[in-house]
Order: sequence, then structure tokens, then C-alpha cells
Amino acid sequence: MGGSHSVFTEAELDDYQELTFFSKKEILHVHKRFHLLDPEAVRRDKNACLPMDTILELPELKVNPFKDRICKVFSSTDDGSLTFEDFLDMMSVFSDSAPKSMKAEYAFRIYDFDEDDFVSSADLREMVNRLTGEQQITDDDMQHLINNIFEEADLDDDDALSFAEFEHVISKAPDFMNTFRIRL
Amino acid sequence: MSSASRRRQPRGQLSVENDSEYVNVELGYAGASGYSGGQGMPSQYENMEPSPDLRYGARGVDNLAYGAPTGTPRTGYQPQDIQLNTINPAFSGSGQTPLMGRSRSPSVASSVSYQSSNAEADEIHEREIIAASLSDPNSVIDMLPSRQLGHTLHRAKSHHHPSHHHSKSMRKRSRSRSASLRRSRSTSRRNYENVNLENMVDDILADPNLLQGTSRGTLRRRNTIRQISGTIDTRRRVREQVNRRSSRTSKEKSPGICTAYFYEAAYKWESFLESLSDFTYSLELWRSSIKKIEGNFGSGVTSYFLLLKWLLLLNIPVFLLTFGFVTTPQLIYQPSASVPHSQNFSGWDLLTGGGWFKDTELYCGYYTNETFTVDNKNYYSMPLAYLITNILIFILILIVIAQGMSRAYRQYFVTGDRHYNFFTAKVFCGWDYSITSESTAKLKNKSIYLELAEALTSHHSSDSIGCCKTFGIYLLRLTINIIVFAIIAGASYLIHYMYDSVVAEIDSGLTVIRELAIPLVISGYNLTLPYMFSVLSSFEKYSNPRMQLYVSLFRTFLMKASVLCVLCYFWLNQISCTDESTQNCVECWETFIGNEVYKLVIVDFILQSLATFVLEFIRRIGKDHCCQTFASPEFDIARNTMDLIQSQTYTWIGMYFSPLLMVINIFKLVLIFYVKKVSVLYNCKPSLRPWKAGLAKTVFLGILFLMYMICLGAFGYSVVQIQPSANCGPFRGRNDTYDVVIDLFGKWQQSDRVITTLVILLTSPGVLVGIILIIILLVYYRRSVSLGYKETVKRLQHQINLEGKDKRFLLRMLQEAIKKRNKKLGITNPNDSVVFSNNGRVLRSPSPSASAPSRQRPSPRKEGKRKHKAHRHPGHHGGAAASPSSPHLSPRLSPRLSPRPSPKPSPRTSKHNQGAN
Repeated sequence: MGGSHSVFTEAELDDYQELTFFSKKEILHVHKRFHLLDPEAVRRDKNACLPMDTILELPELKVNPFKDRICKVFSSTDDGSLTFEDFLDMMSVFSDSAPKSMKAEYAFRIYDFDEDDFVSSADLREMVNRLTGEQQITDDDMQHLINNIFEEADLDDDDALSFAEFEHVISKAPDFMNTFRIRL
Repeated sequence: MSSASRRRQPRGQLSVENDSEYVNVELGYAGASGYSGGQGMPSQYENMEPSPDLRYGARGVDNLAYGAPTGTPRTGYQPQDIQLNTINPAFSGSGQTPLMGRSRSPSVASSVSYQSSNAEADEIHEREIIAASLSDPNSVIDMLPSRQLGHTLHRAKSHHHPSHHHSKSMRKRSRSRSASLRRSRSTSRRNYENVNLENMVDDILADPNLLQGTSRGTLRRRNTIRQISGTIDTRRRVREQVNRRSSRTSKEKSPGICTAYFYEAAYKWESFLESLSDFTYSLELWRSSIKKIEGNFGSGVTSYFLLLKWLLLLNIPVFLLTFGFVTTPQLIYQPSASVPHSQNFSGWDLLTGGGWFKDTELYCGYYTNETFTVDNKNYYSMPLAYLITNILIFILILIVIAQGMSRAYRQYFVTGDRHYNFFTAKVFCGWDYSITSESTAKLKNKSIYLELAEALTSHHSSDSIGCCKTFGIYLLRLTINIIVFAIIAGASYLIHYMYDSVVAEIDSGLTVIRELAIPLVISGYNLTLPYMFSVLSSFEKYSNPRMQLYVSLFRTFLMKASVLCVLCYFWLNQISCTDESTQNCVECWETFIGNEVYKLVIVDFILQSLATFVLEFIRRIGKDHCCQTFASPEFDIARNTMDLIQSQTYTWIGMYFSPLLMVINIFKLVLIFYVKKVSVLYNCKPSLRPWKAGLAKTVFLGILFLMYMICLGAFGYSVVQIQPSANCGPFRGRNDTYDVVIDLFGKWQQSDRVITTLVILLTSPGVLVGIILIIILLVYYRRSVSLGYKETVKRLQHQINLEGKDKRFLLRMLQEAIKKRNKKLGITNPNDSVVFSNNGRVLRSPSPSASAPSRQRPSPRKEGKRKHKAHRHPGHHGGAAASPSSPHLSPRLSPRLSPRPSPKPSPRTSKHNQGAN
């Protein structure tokens, strides 16, 4: 632990601790994971900006169907590359201590593929396709599915889920907190 | 405020029932969106009320029918004022959703305090909106609350003035405030961020609960900042500004000494917790193992291991308590040499817990009934210590379980509606983000696909089962239920029967196998019966696999509980020598029970590990080497969790009779963890069947709680009702265990009157009844509160519905207005009219390029025309004011020239632009 302590000064750690949901040890752990992604670059600059491809080497993201969206959403440069602070931010949102509403907001951004602040039927289609992977649901079923989702969640009948509706429906899905989480 | 309804009712063109107030609200809300400009740092309170100048301007615009060629630049219409009036989304809802904060229904209004602007301002703003929309209908769409994610600015903060803050509603608001703050992240931040940032800063500064100066305020502020969703850098800047500005303006009234002290303590406590979490992180047990399991098997299997860990952590303090207050004194004061061992140690004793062990601290019977004298004044009464420690332990466990259960319950049943949205849950929460293994991910894909496909096909075929068939199914279920109950009854009876015969022969010395017969049978039940139940329930044709799972789970629970009850009954009623005539009588029944539980725990452990290893290993070997028909086993979460709960139950029931059983259980849990971990990681394959960890946790904790209640009942009964053995244990020679306490009171009575009367008073029936009554009332109160919340949720949901309707209504109104204006101006250009579908989407838009999908809006119309219009606008002063970098330019004033102030130009629009070009 002594070795990794030297990466950040105590003040920096305090700073991060205050701004995220992590304790100092956890922050160091996050950095260790960040470091493992590209040891060379991170050694040169501890807050290096790693390109999306490197970030996606993270095992959790590697298999995640929404990996590119996650990177985009958390990237401060909007191109999917993450600095350490972005990375820390991401892990903080995915941590256990992040509140549900915050998680819901990021989930909404991740699922809003066309970034129009709505989860529309096109977004849903994309989502389901990514979720089912190789197996594809038939068009007919897909339409049914989307209709069902709107029936459950679309309160104002505009065939798209606004954030309010999304959050509402998430609040009724108790497993959200269990699944929208990456253990450190 | 009521102008909208006034206007609308006569028209009667829309059958929106009884929701006029909501429209008002919406308008008023847009109206309240005046935002103090982003230049410099104007005090946040200065610009809250639209200045008279502005009002005039607004009216003027309205009168002039905005956009008409007659408009001439008004002098004195300063850019500053224009900014004040920005239509740029400045909603920061005071509720989670902007929609929810503005209810007029009394119950909601009381909980989320919303301060309306005055009616006049609303009317003005309403007109403004209409005026603005005449030129650009889309600006209204942009103003609708549901579009505000990601570019939330802040409403005029008139209600934030520190002068009228009062505790309760404020606290609520501060919570919701942090929610709205969080929403403030913009995706394309650059030039917008500064503005956003300052708003957040303003917001934080305006909230008296987040004031610097008090420790609690500091904490809250820190939490609020922590929850702002933005990059770390954004938060850092917010924090810096907040600190800078609050130190500049800080003149808080100093709190009273008491409150200050309280805040200080709270702050210290919080920092302590933080450092503690730092400390516990490095101590956290099995973190990497659990992570590995979760990565490979998802959160379902992990929940088993987490429960195991939780139980282990619960057992450790329990063990420390017993060890510290019971075993250690015994070891110190009663050296084991004083009582010679009657039997020599043999290997079998480890298994049976009998023989040599009977004369050790393992069992209750060995403990002394003496009272040690520490010095002249202090003494240590062993019986009392023994009893009180056990009572304390039971209370401790009760608190921990109840807390865990209530948390799980809250998470599942209260926040989650009981009405379960299958499809949304599946799609939005379907992916387990913690998965790391490729194959598991593939499997997860497949599992989601299968589930969705299954649900959809069942949706297709609305199967109408005939009456006869339904009857058949019910008959089948009835039969199977009867069979199951028969099995359970038979199993219980078998145990009873075996005990009878064992006890009859107990004096003649038993072989090891004979002694272990009952534990073996019980473990055998655990291995076979749950499997049998799940097979049986698969015959029952439950429509829902989850239902099937819970049915078999319930039966397993019933089996375990009834076995436990039989055991308790037998131990407590038959074994003890309360009645001289009883023939089956054991010399020291406390030790006997302890021994029985010891055997159960040990045998259960051995069989469980053996079964895990041998069965799963054989299956895997079989799959790998012989034939592929052997599927590699799946980890059965339900069965394993039930086993875990059962073994914990045995420990609870035995720990009174065998104080050191806890240490054995701790070892057992640790070993089981590794056994199961190895088995899962090397032998099992992840399951296709989804597992709802949230619900399952609640259910399992509930089961654990029920089991605990049985143990508690047995413990209470044995303490109060049963006569302790005559020659062994700390309570020897007494009528019942509780005598110890009564004796204590007696002693107190001699020395201290007050305490005695107090105790007598407290234990008197009247007081007890009173306490129970109070508890009942509390429960009733909480229940009605929760019902009230439910009602509120329903209402809010209804309100969201209505807001949707409002949106449609507004759009239609707009359409109407546009038509009228066109008529008035004699514009016959059909390009200028916009047709809205009844759900508010633009169906037909004017420019040819906008014949695109229904969700696209006709915003980018011809560039030239737009410029033209903009230039003619009275309030427009040319480039400087309309510079694209100025985010606060009202769309009303330069609807086209300046890019949308929204942080990200709507992708739809940009897409559209590309299309048009």
C-alpha cells in the first residue's frame, strides 16, 4: 500500500474523497485498476487520458453491451476517452454508495443512444438488440416488446420515455441497484 | 394564474377533464424561469422578479403580435432585461421530476413546497410563450418540462430567500434540491458550463441548510456537491466557488451552544465513519473472491456468499460476547483440573461431541453455579452472567436481523411498487454490470433473450384455459400439496420416533452410528427433500417460474421449520426430568441438547461439503470425460441459502446450551465459503434462470427471522418453564432458570428500594400492556403514513399523465394561434403552418426537408427568412446581444440567429440540418 500511496498526495486524496463516494483506499484501488489498463501511459501521467479502446479492456466493460455508451457518457471530452478523474467518476457512480437517483440519471444517459434526452423506441430497439446479443428478437416481437414497455412506463403517451418517466419506472424496479453496479 | 383556464374553457376544444390547474401550473412554472444573467456575478436575489420594464416589454410584444413587421426597436430595452426573461429552459423542478414539484393537490403541496409566482407574472409569461411560439413553435416544445434533462438552469429563486426558511419543508426541499442539481450536467459543456456552474453555486448558497458555518451545513453541502452529476472537475469548481463566495458573504446567525455542540458531534461522527470505512475497506473479507464470483456468475450467486458473509460477521460479536462474559470467567476461576475428566479423549468424540467433550466448557452443563468474589465488594455471579449474556445475544441478533429485514423490505416493497413491470425491469435492469466473463455475458444475452421471447409469446397467445382444465390443474395442485404435507409430516414423525428409541437406549451406550443417526437423517432430508419438492412443483404447471421457485422454497422452509419444531418439542418436553414419572430422562439435559445440536452442526457440515464436492465433481467429470448428457451442475441458490439458514438456526438454538458452539459455527461458515467458492468456480456453470436478488434477499431474511423466532421461543420457554438439571449447569438446584433474576431482585430489594420498585413497576402487567399498546399505535401510525405515501405516489402518477395531456393541449393551442396569426397577416404560405398530431408530435412541417420522421421538428427553416425575421425584431440589437456565445438570449428575441441556448443543440435538429444541406 505504501507504494501506491505515493501516487497521490494526501491533499489530492482528500479532494477526491470529498468529490466522490469513495474512501481513500478505494480511490487508490480505482487508480490501481486504471493503472493496469495502460501502465506505461499512467506512469507518465497519473491523470492520463486513455482512449476508449484501452478503457474497454476493463473486464466489466469488455463484456458490457453498452460499453461505448458508458465511455461516451463519462468522457469529459465527449469522444469516449477517459481521464483518471472521469474513470473515478464512473466507478463512483457504479459503486454501492451512489444514490439511486444518480445511478438512474446515468443509466438514462447510457440508454439514450441518440442523445435527444428521450429514450425513444429506436433507443429501446437498439438496447434490446444489444441485450440479447447474437439472438435477435423478431421485428414483430420487438414491436410488441416496445409497446409493452411504453405501456408500463410511458405515462404521457408520447411514445418516448423522458427522464422523469424513466426514473419513475426505475424506482419501481428494485433490482436496479443490484445490477447497475460494478464492484471495485 | 387562471388565465389559461379562462381562455381554454370557452373554447372547449379539448376534452381534458379537470386539469386546468395543471396548465396554469405549467405556465406559471415557465413563467418563473427568469434567470439572472450569466455575466459577472449578480446577486441571485436581485433579478428574481421580472422588472417592470420587462413586464412592459412583454406586454408590448404581445400587443404587437410578435414577429409582425411593425415592430420597431424599443428604446430602453436592455439586453440585461432580455436575459432576465430568457425562455431558455430554466426549470429546476423542486421535485425529482420537474413535473412533480408543482402539484396543487393539497397533500402534495404540503410536502413539496412550491411557491408560485404571482398571477400577473404568470399571465405575462403565458403571453410571452405564446408570442414566442408564434414564430417558433419548437421553443415551446423545448420549454416543456420533460425536455429539460441535461440543460436545467434554475428557476428564479424567490422562494429561496433565507428569510422564510423553516425547518421541515425546507429540509425536504433541500433534498430535492440536490436532486435537481444533479441533473445539471450538460453533455456538450464547454460554453454552457460556466453558466450552469454558477447556477449550482447560487443554488447551494441560497439553501440555508447547506450554509457554511454549521458543521451539519458543511456536511450537507459536501454531500450535495458530491451528488452533482458532472465531471469531478465541475464539482471541484462548484466547491471552490461556493467556498469562496460563502466566506465572502457569511454572516450566519450563530447557533446556540447546544446545537453547535450537536453539529460538532455530528461532524466528528461523520468523519469518524469516513475514516472507519477507509479502515474496514482494507479489512473487508473475501472482497476479491466475491468479486470473482460476481464477475463469473452474476449477482444472484453472489447474494448467497454475501449472506454467508453477513452471518459470519453477525456470529463474531456473538461469540466474543459469550467468550468474554461466560467462558473466560469460567476458565479463570474454575481450572479444569478441579474436575477430573471422566472419559478419555477419542477421535470419535470430535464427531459426536460426546465423551470427553462433555466435561469441557463446550457445554452448558460444565459451567459452575458459583459466585466468584473479585474483591470484597464485587462479585461475579456465573448463573446471572450466563443468563444475561444469552439474553443480550438474542436481543443483539434480533436488532441486526430486524434492521436488515426492514432495509431489504423497504428497498423492495416500499420503493418498488408491488405491481411489477416485467418488461421495463427486464430491459432496463436486465444487464448485470458486474459481469466480467465472456461466457457469462453470452449466457446472460441468451437468458434475457429467452425470457423476453417467452414473455412475448405468452403475450401473443392469450390462452383461454377451459374451466375443466383449470379444475384439473387445481386438483393436481391440491394432490401435490397433500403429498408434500404428508412427506413433511412423515419426516417429522420419523425423527420423533427415532428420538424415542435413542433415548430409551441412552444408558446402555450407543454406537457412533446410532448416535449420529438423527443428524444423518436430518441432513439426508436436506439433501433429498428440497430436490423432491422442486420436482413436484414442476408438475404443478405454474405459469411463472418464479412462482414455482417460491412454492418449492416455501415447502422446503416448512420442512425445515417443522423438523426444528419437532426437535425443540422433544428436547424441551421429553428429555428434561421435570416430571419424575417420565421414563426417558437424561441426567443433564442441557448438555444433552448441546450435544445434539453439536452433532447436527457437524454432520450437516460434513455432508454438505461432501455432497457439494462429490456430486458436483462427479457430474463435472462425467461431463468432461464420459458423455455430454451430464449437464454440469448449476449453483442452486435457493437450496444453498436454505441450508445456510438452517445451520445458522441450529447454532442459535444451541448456543444457550453450548456456549462455544458459535466458534464451531464460525469455522464452519469460513470453510463452507471456500468449499462453495471452489465448487462454484470450478464445477458449476452459471444459470440461465434469472435470479431476482433484491426480492430473494427480503424473502430469505424473512425466513431467517421466522427461524429466529422459533429459536427465541424455545429459549424463552426453556428459561422460564423448565426446571434445570439437578446436578449440572450454572442453574443447578433451582426451580427454573429465571430464578436467578428473581434472586437478584431480592438482593436489590435489601439494598436498594428505588431500583426494586422501578423494576417491579416496569415488569408489572399494566406497564407491559401500556408499552405494547404504544408499539401497536406506532405501527398503526407508520402504516397509515405509508398508505398516505402510496396515495401520493398514485396522485403524482396521475399528474404526470395530466401533464402529458397539457402538453398536447398547449401544442394544439399554439397551432390554433399560428393559424390565426397567419390569417390575420394574410400569409397563405402553407409552409408556415405546423400540424401537430394529437400526441404533440409534429406531423407535417413546413419545409420540404422536414417531411421526415414524425419525431423531427421543423425547426431549421430557411436560413434567410429566419435572419430576416430576427433582424426585424424590436429587441434585437444586432450581433453583440445575439452572439452565439451568449446562452441567455431569449429565443423569443432571436429565435434563429443564436443557437439554441440548450447545451447540446438537439441532435434531431442537427441531423435535420445535415439532411437539409
